[in-house]
Amino acid sequence: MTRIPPEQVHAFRALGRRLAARRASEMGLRLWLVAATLAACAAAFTYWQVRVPLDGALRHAGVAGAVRLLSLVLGGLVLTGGALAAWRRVALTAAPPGPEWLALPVEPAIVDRHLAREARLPALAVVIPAAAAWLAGFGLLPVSALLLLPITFALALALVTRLACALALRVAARGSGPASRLPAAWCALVTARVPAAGARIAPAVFRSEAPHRALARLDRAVSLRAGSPRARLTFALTAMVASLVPWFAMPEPLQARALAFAAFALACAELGAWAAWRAAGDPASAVRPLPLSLGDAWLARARPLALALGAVLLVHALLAGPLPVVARIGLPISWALPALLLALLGLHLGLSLAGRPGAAENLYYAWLVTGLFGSITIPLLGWVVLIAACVQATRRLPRWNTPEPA
Amino acid sequence: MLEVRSLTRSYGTRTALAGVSFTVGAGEVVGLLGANGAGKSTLLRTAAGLQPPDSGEALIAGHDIWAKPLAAKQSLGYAAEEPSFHEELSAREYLAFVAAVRGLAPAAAHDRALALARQLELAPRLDEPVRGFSHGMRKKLSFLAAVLHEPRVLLCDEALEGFDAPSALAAKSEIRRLAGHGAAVLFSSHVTETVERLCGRVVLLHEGRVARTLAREDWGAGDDLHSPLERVFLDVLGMALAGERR
Repeated sequence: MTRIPPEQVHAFRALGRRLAARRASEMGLRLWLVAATLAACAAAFTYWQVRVPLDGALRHAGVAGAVRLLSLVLGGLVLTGGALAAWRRVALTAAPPGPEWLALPVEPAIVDRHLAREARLPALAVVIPAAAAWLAGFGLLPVSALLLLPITFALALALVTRLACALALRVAARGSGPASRLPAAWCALVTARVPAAGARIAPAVFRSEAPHRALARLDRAVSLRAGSPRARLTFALTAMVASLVPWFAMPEPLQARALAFAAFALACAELGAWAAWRAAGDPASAVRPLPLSLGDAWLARARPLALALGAVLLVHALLAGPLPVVARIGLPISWALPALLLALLGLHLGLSLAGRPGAAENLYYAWLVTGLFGSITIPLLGWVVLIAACVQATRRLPRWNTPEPA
Repeated sequence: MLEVRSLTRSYGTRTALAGVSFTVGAGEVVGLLGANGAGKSTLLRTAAGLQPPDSGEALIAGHDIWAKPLAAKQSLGYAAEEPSFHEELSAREYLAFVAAVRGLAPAAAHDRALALARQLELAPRLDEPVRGFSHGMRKKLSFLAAVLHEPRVLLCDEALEGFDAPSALAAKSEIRRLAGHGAAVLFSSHVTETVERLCGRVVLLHEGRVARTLAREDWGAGDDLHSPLERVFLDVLGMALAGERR
């Protein structure tokens, strides 16, 4: 075990405190209010989703059954927290924030500890639904269980997130050559930020084409190669294909339609995320000095999205044989509206937040989550929320013309 | 050809540009000198359409870059100080995209891109993803994309810093050639030796204002320690600082 000098431990603790304070102050009052509202929505949603089954479990299986159910919920949240921490640790392994750590006279182990602490921060998000689930047990579970469960939850979360980070580091830190013989924490720092070896790409053809087509071609190349947009497209494509399966697998046409729509909406949501990422992700110094207009940037993404969605809707209409003719004709029309709404919401958020793909995507998902909670609370309210979001994003489109440095 | 009129830009309470005005005529190569934080990059980014000014305007070939961006950017080339790219694309793919957006004839654009890439010693790496490029290679690619369409106005933001000697020579030749064909070039650099060899006139920026404009005959001879322009630059900077202290 590496012995870390106490002054380094203090320095890294101070760094962690300063980073936390800076992040808190940079959020600003408005974002804090939005975050608090979303947290309250999530907590209220979880409370009612847990409270009713807990009451049922108490009636049918007694106190032990109810405690078991709440333990399962909290256990699920602990595992979610672990997954979040591991996912973040992998991202931080590839690109550790901060200075060139290896140039400093510090042990890689303490840098790893610092990065693991950073990675565990997003896992704290599960505390909100966990607290709501715990509150749902009040009046139903005995006091001893209500006292024991949060302590166990806190300990389990701390342990699982630590284990997840350690595991993620071992998986992600794969060095080659001399780096492979180093301890995982060291190997991760050595291999991070090292550019990939120059794989060759088939020579590009110079073409004469409209700017929006050139931009669409660039989007395609970037989306098929970059990890993040490619993952979104793969997910969307999988959900699209999955949305066709119920027409073959389900004998009941109405059930098949409901399942097919659910998968189709999921695919549209992911296409919207792709649009947000790509529309916001063009690097300023490469694209801004070029004679490209907002219309070009919009058309380059909207056209392929509309074509893809139109093609899938057509296939759905063809496969929906068990439905009456009127319903088959109405299906692509009625499904096109939510599909376009989701895709355009992502695209317009991306264009209005040019140069900030992370912010565009976070805002997009925040709207989706709000819409989801809205629809669970009052049927169809979520769509009203999403229409309002799309109108607001559309009104912000002219911001594309006056970008600020990211 | 390039006209900057009363350009003002602030970041919060800090003023980066305070009413900067000057022109660069056709066929002229004008240097832009200033200490760190003097406002050079802000000026060039604003004139290139990367960030809007608080007030004032930048005319590229007669078109205001913020009022008529498409017309202005047709005539503009911008080589960035810290160029950013779509990292997954190859250099050739990026150049093909730039050529298409600028409406260049494909065959001619490809030939010119290849010729420039050979001069800048970038040709063997044209089909590799940009993410594997070194800092110098990224700057070469940015410069290549900026001059691909033979712009009427070329803005270079420390564009040659990071170039190896043969490539720097080739780039300077290209800048001179473009100026010879009537392009207006604004060339920002910290390397005064490069500026004094390349530029016919120099604009000195200090704290967001034009401290002085120097013609070639103004910077005379240097001494053992300083190049001629460096000595004048330090004198002007010293005078400006002394004026502030008073």
